[in-house]
Amino acid sequence: MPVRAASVRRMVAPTVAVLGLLFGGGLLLAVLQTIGVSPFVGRFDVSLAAYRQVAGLPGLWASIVLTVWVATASTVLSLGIGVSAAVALRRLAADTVLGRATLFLFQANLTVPHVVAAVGAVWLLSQSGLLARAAFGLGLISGPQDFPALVYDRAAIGTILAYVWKEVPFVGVVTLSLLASVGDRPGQTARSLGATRWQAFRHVTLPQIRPGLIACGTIIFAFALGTYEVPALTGASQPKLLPVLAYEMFTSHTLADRPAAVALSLTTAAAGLGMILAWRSLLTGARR
Amino acid sequence: MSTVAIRSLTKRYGPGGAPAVDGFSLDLAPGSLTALVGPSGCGKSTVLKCLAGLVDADGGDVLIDGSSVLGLQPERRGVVLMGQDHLLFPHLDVAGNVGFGLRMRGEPAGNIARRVEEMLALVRLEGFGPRRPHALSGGQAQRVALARALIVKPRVLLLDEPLTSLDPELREEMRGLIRTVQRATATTTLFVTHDREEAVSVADGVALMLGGRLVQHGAPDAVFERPATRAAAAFFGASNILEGRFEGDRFVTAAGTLRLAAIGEGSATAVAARPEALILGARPGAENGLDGLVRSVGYRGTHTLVEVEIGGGVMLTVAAPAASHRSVAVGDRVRIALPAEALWPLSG
Amino acid sequence: MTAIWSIATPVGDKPATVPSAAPTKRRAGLPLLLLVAWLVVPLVPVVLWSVARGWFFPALLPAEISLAAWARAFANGSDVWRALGTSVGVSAAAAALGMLIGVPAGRALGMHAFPGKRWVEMLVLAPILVPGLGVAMGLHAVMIRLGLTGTAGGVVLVFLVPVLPYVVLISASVFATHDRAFEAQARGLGASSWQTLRHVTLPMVAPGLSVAAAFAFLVAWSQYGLTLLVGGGRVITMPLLLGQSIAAGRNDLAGVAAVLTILPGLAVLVLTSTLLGRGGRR
Repeated sequence: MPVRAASVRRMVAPTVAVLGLLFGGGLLLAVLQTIGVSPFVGRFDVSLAAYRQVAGLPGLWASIVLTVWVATASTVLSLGIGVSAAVALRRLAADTVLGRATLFLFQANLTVPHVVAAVGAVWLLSQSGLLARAAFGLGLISGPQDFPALVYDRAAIGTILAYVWKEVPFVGVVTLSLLASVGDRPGQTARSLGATRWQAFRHVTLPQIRPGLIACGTIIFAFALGTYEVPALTGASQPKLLPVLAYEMFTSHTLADRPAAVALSLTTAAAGLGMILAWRSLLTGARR
Repeated sequence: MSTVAIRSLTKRYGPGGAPAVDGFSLDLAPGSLTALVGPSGCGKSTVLKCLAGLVDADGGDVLIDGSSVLGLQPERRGVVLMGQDHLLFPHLDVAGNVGFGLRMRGEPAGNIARRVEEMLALVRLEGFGPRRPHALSGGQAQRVALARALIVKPRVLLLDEPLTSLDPELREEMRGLIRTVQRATATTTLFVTHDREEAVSVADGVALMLGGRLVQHGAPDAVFERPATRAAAAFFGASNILEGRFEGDRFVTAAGTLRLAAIGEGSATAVAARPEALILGARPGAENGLDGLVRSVGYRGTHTLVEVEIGGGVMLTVAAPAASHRSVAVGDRVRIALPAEALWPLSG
Repeated sequence: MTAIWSIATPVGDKPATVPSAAPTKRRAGLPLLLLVAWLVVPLVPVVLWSVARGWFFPALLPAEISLAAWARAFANGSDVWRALGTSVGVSAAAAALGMLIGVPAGRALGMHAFPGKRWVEMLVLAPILVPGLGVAMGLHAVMIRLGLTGTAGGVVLVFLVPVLPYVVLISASVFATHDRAFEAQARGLGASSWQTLRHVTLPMVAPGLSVAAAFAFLVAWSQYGLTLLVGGGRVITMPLLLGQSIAAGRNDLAGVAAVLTILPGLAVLVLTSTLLGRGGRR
């Protein structure tokens, strides 16, 4: 049954049109807006004022550094914990009650919206949160002020933990399916050729699941770079993460701030796009 | 050259399950190639996995050069398992695959490169080092896997149906190569297969496993021609079984009395004979001649299978010369001879 | 087992420690137990707050359990009812539209090679990897012009941006594992292309596609930033209601909203796993 090119085109056309218009069009309009062109408002005074305004924002660098720190730390921790958990789960406890419970929680956790994760993190980690109360009960602290500031803090620990809580199951589930597709036998073959358990993982299993993990890490990094609600609920008021900063500028009563807000979002998005290309070339490079 | 002693090895999968391996014992002489043969599901692959450390035995022991290896991690046993799939690592080239075990030991790169060249020459793949596994044919991949296994100088090499996925002609060639390489390296080898011809043609010794237990272990011709039990006879194709009782060197069956070259133990109640050992159309008065009625004639190319019903409703199968299908027809009365040397008493 | 060992092991040989499954599993047990705890613990205060009355530092548990917040949430004409309705409505609409548009593309990507395939893949992947806030800000002016800001329809429309990629990617993987030989067989047996789709293809891919639909629904259900931006405070979904309750300092109402925000996901999980289980058994 040969499939005609026309029928394939018909199949992809709706998706291409919708994403092209909404995503591509939105992106294009956003770019135009930042250089002073708003076709729907009838404004055509081309300038880079929006970018100058962004560059002049007080505390911008602190926000950039913090945003990159949150995205990097969340990605690295999620990958580390998620992969270790998946490996342990697959090798040692696949058929135990504990293993099944972990797997169920992984899947259940995937369905929890990020906003709930952020709220949970606040109620657990804040200075009057559940952990602080437990610490007080154990006599470790004598009042809320003694508990380390884990949310609303300048290092964004609470934000990172909320992301990690959400992304570990994501990494875990992805890794489990990657491991399942590789199977146990390459690792066993390596063991019988004299590789230790770690060597077999490091030199045989890991290289085979690496492309999947890189894709997984890219998604997490991009997500942590651009999500509003998690830092909005768990972050400090100074410095703010870039998505929060952009959103607040966009919705402030000063309409003149909008192009700058868009410029800020786009700079973040551009970083994401740059990453896709970088990762893609890395991936194809590794596959050879 | 290492000795292997498997002692009462037992393994069951899942609590309360029937044992896959049930008190299995086997000795492998140093430098020998032993074929472990049996139908699928008889537990032979499980034996290999216990030896390689991929599953934990429930009971019994495995001694290599006199000391137990069951407590050792897989990589410390000196046991390499090579399976039906070559399982070459897709992300490494041929040289990387062959040299893998040496790299894990931290050998210097120069040594590894030299040894990889030696091994590739041994399996007749000189110059294949930079190739990628997916660019190899099935036979080449299998040879690379063999080189990768032998480069670490294993104490024991385990081959689990290594030729099953190959074409018949290639299989013959690989069989010869395995034999040559195994002799050249004098590696104690256990070769699992369900193919009885493969077993007797490649190995120094053949061990037959049925239902998780060792049934018979001996030289290829011994197990092929002198099966120990009915089940062993059936597996090796000695499909003619005559029930009866011994009286001295005579064996009395419902169809007549036969003379045997071998004396059965008192308990033996059956004798086995291979179809190709029987003679169709024996002269009257020939020793051990039995009259019968041809029930079916099946042309097989190299021979013709003739089923003959003899007295007492017993059916015998004769592998007659190929041309017989033109001279014998269903319903013919024939006389078949059962040479005394072709009859072997069964003990169980 | 000890008995077998003493028989089988030659004298003088150490009674080899069998690496049986038990000790290895015990070694993994503690880290996994910690992992399970870590996965559950953040949800504990969420549930507790929804039934707490007067839960002040340093009390580890609420002094008094009360269903007042729940009663208030489900009173006639409450914010919660409205938000639930909005959430279900916009998520279902976005998922349905997404499936309608995305599944054919998934089939094309999963089963066919065609010129420009790489570009379509890039376009589909881009919304997953590029934060959507900037895109939504770009669309904002057009949507004001079209009168779509502050409406459920506008929200559904922008939800397509995050929803479509998941629908396309999941259905592409479903169709990639689907063997077209079955369809050829059906056609050979005299089925028309429509009959083949109806009686062969759809039944085979249905479990996988229902997962795609469930995922699409959940992706839409979880949206926050886009809803806020395009809904302009007039389209209040459950996640937004949760945010508002937190901002208002009403932890009890926030607890209720949080629990209600989690529940559909769990329901979908149970539903799809039974669906997949049935598909797998077939």
